[in-house]
Amino acid sequence: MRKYLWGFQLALSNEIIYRWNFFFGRLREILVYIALVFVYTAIPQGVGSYTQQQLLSYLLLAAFVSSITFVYGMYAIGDEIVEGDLTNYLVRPINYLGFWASRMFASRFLLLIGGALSVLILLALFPSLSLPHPPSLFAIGAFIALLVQSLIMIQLIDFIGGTFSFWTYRSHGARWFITVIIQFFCGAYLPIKAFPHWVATILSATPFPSLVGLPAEAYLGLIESNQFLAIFLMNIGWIIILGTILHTLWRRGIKTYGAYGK
Amino acid sequence: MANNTALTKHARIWARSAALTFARTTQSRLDFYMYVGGKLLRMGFFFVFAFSLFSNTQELGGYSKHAVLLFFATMNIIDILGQLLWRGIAIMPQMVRKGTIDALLVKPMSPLFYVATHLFDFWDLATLPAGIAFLAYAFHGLAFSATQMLLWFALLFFGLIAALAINILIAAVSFWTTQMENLYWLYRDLVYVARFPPTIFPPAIRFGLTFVVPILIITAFPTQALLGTLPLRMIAWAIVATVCLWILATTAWRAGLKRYTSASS
Repeated sequence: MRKYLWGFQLALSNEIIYRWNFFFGRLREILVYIALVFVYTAIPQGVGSYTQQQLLSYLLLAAFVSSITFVYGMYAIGDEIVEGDLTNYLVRPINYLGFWASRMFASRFLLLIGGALSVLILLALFPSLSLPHPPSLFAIGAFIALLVQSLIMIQLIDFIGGTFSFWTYRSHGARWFITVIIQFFCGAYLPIKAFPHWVATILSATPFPSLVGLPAEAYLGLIESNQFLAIFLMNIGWIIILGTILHTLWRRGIKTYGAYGK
Repeated sequence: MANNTALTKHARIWARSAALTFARTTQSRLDFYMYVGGKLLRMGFFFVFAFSLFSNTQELGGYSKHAVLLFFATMNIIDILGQLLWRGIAIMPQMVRKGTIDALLVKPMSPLFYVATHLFDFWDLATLPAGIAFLAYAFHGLAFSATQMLLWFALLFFGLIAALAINILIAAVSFWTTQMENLYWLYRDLVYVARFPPTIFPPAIRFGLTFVVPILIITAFPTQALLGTLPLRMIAWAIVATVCLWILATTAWRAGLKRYTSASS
């Protein structure tokens, strides 16, 4: 366990060393949300079944949740596989993905603070915005439960993206494709239910709405208890599916791994 | 005669670089399809997003659905053309940091030309037909005169030059500090968010995006001219600002080159 704690501490130090990257990352994200606040403010009628007030509250929640989810280790993992650095881990008594999970946990931990800061900055910039209190204890519980599931799912997807490098050179395209889908179709900028019906239907058959949209909706009390149970169980199903895919890809990838470059 | 020779030489360099980039980008078919697929999905998102915004309303910032789609589609075309023509500028900070720019400086060609054009973006070329279809759909629901259409083309051209100038300016900053890679991505984000009709932003932001960091010249002016909502003085400003940006960018580039001391080679 201690070695994974070291991984956590190492990643934490790394993030703190590259403060400018952290600062610019936050700034870029806030910029997008500032623009969206202006867009939704210009539509008093709301979008889809969402009122304008609900949309703006949703945006604050999405800004917070997406800040924790939109961080990836797959590019570095892919590089380590291609450059042969993976060997350094394989010869040690350490679980490579476990070590990376602890590193990513550190990044997400810092981004938790960054995400809260983003929300505070948005609230300061737009006095008309307000973060609503969760309507019930159930909403808080549902939010936390779905957020934890979201973090597990994003980590599994992230690792799956990293394993592509076992087969294609660096596989930047595949990883970029994954990040585009996550960024635009997880409900970070618009609630899934506000998309046209056919788009929402397709997306609801994927794990992506569970990454940002559903936790945000849970916090706002837009998910009933019976709906929550169905979403919770569906997420467990996705975690099992994604975990199985990762396990299979990793096992097969390790067999093809040639440690080129070392 | 000498100018013609230089032009032919640079055209040949561009063609050779494009051929090399093609070989590199198609090295992995999976990667190629994924990049193109991702870019199409992103374009599709903006299309669907614009549609969603109009589920309960007929206008956004005073513009109809097709007009908003035109803002998105025009910016999309500028973005694609920019990526096709000067994608290489994005990796300029990396070139300075690694010292790979040294090899360019000793060659008999314009380093700026090579840096800007050495990565012809075939992924974006593959998305160009979809971008044009997006544009055609937006045009379909709008009425405009031939003069407005001409103005759209002219401001599209100025928008492209202004975008290139800003890209050169950002690249030139790399000569002073290699920690500014994020500045390029910040600019890209700014361009992304400024593709909404400018009327949704408060006057202070509109002023800033027109006169301080003139992003709206690139993202909004061509569409506003086509829709007849751009005052004549703003058309004049677009020309003046583009010329000023170009002078500033090329001056900064030359000053940066003079200041450059090989980093690691």
